[in-house]
Amino acid sequence: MKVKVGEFKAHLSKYLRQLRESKEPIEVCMREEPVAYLTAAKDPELSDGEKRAELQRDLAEAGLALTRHGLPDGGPTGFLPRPVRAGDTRTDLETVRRMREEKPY
Amino acid sequence: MDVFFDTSVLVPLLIEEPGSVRAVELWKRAEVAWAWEWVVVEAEAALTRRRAPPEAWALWRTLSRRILFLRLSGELSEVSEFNRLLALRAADAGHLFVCDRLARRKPETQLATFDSEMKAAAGRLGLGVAGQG
Repeated sequence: MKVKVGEFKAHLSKYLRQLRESKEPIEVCMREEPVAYLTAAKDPELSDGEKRAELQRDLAEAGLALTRHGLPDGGPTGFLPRPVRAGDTRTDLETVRRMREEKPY
Repeated sequence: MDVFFDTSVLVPLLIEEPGSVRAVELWKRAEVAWAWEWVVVEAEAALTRRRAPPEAWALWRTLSRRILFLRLSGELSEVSEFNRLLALRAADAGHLFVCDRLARRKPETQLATFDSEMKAAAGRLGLGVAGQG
């Protein structure tokens, strides 16, 4: 948005409100030449609780909800699983496929 | 990348199977890991039936703390209706239904599954499948 300095000065509060809502930078001009840009301040960081509430609201729109385990210690990043050998020592079985084929319904 | 994990990929993360290397690759690519809560029952059934050692159970506890588990807040009849054209097995339909719902809010979500029927159904729904191509 472009605004002349006189107009900007006269209606500063109005332009600050617009900036907060639209986040669109304001270009302040003197004699049609841009002399300054005003940009919106960053939103404050949301707390974990606020992030979770926001996520819950978003998921609710899709008919879903987080379970009580829904706030993990951290995502997958930084944790590399190392699968271990099953008690029957076989490594050639696809357990889930076999389980699903046992009950094909 | 947001990845929705089916049990067929989660279990090879816990016990050595032919798909373990690929499963770890999919896990490494995930920035956010999602799953339907039924995966807990299936994964723990798999561990029990394979007589998994305590290390595998400890791994499962650690891994599951890094997954966002989802439950359905609507009626299960919605899953039945969803599955009429797909004709998946019951639990697979549930996984895919939840993944589909999640993808409505988070379109970048990719499904991680080793189940060929689920992959085909995901393709029909236009869902992204992790590790394809």
